[in-house]
Amino acid sequence: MSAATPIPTIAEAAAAIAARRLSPVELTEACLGRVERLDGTLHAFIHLDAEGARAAARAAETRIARDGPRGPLDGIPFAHKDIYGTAGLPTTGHSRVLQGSVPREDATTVRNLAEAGIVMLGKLATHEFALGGPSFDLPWPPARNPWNPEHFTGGSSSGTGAAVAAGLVLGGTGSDTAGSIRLPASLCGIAGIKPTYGRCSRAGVLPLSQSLDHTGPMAWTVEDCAILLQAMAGYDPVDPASADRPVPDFRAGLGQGVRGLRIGLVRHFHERDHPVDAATLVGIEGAADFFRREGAEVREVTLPGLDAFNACAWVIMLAEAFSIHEAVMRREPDQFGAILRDRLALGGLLTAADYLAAQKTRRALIAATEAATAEVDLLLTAAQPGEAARIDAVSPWAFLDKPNFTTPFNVTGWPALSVCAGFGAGGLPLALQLVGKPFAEPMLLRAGHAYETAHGWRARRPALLG
Amino acid sequence: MSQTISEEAFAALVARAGMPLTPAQCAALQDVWPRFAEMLRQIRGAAPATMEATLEGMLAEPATTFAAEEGR
Repeated sequence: MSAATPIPTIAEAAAAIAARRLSPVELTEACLGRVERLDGTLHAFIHLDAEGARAAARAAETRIARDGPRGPLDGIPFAHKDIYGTAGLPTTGHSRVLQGSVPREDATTVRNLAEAGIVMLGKLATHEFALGGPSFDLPWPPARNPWNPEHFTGGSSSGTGAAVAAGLVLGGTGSDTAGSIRLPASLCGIAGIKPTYGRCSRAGVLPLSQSLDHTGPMAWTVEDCAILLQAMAGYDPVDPASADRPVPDFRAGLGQGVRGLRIGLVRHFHERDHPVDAATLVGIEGAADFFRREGAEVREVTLPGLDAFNACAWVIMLAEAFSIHEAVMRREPDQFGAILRDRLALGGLLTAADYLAAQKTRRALIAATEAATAEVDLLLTAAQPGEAARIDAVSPWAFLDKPNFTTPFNVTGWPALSVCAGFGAGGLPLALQLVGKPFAEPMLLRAGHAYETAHGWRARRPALLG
Repeated sequence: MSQTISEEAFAALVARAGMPLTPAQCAALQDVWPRFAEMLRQIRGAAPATMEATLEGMLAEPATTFAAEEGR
């Protein structure tokens, strides 16, 4: 297999590896070939461990030949967002503050994925500490969008979005505090799921805002996200927010369609609160029509306004983030890039009463959302307002100008999935967002998979792949 | 919560936080402050009210509460 060979999904690669038609060594070399060819443009990796990956691939090959694969992730090339602690490998948060830091232990999710057999290629770019970016004043450049490297990847899991879209890896980890899995997944044309708060451990992952942080997977398809989530999910007593719940089979419902599901279309989010572009609206309406044709009931629901969710989330996030980074902000704030420094500084200006008012508002918003959605199983709305902007046109204060579509479900902690919904006039991906009830990821993945497999978007990869 | 703020009042907020920002950095943040203060106004104005001495406001629990179960 060469770097130019069509890139398999994780599910396809797993089947081929299990049938001895594909070698983990060949698969890893193909990914490393694409890294060598493309990452000078994409800057998805900030630490590449090619020799470690080759050794892991050889070990996987030997193990599989002897015992068969451990499961669908055995021998699959993968990488972690550089806020996930990796024993023996640098973990920096893409920040000068932690440059050279090497953890002694893996994050729980890193360990879970390693035990499932992934071949780890290295650490991926992020917005600084998952909040400040895209930044050009850090030790590493920001990741670029493979569909057009002059354009933004979205963030903060920017390197994972770019790496998966370009086939540098078949999957990767992300984290999501206000949309940081779903936003880059959307702009890079891949799939990403923010599971229910507590479903995946955050232990060993650099925090941004503990009451809003979620960990989760990003991959080319919804099915691949389900495979990765299976390995990542589970109770972790080390994480105080971890949910002591059984882990279902996330792939069990894939292929069962959407007949009988009740889907709430949150039209006011993307038509009034933050109007999306025409192509995105066509994509969302097309998805609603698709679900109706397939036997789901689609009805409009009204939630609290996007502005209310965003105000609540940003006050909580900036207060919690400042508390994490207060020592550096008091001693030498210019250790941070300007974007992160300025955002954290806003958090430093908040009072304890501001923070608790936001947490009281959060409880009220959750109650209002539960009441408004009592008669539906899933929600459908936008994930992004349109295609990715040029990277040099992204405002550091955009979050103050327009509310985003992903934040409400960090406030509620509900699982949410972004799925490619086609391509815009500029040739860059569009996306939609599906949202489930707490711990109902199997239903969410089932609906996302039904939509994705009925459309042809997965056949198209970025042109720079040749 | 006032959405505009004097230079002196803003400098006092920065000083209370203990951040050694330059005058230029403070000025840039002060420019942004009214938009962030609008978020604070929304939070303070949202139900359950926190700026009025109402029974509902006093009884409102924050979303993060302590749990006494072992290990939580």
